[in-house]
Amino acid sequence: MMLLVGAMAAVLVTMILGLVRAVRGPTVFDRILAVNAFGTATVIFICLHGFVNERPDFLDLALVYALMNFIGTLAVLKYLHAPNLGALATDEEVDS
Amino acid sequence: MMVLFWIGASLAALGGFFFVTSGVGMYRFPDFFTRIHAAGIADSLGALLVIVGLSLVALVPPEGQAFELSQILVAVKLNIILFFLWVSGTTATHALAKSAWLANVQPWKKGEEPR
Repeated sequence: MMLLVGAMAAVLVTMILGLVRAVRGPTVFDRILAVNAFGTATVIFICLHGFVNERPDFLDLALVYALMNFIGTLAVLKYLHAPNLGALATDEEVDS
Repeated sequence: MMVLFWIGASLAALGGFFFVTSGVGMYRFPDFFTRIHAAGIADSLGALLVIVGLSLVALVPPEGQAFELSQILVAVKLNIILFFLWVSGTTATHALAKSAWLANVQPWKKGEEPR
């Protein structure tokens, strides 16, 4: 049981380091990357927390959170990559 | 049966170690493209070890009680999460690197200042 709590502490350390990178990150992509890594760490933290407190139904929360984290990252990237979300920006358009 | 619990918990702790290396890598690496690699470690290896460890822990029946079928469901759900983390982690980092490259973020070269 102590090992699981140790793993939870390790995941918390990753979250804090991810937040530090999010604040310091020079480019906007560093910040998106930090938010993505923070989201994955949250998914694993929810799984571990569900196991330590005998709540197996937390796994559904973790799965939904993983789905949302992925969609969120892609949405922000889509906004950065092609500002007008309507048109499908082909690579030639973006490079010009 | 109890040894299965200890194997699972130690695997989860090892996964936690890889999470810390991923966090330190994301904090210390000099530029954006190296930090993507560091973040990817947590997505793939850290998540793999933690979730395989937890599914071992899930398959151990609590003291004195018989093995229930619902424990298999918990392990299967964990592996579904792992599968999705692997698929989404790689796709998101690929899209991130591509849009960073198209927004001409220059990679770091040896001897330069960390960006």
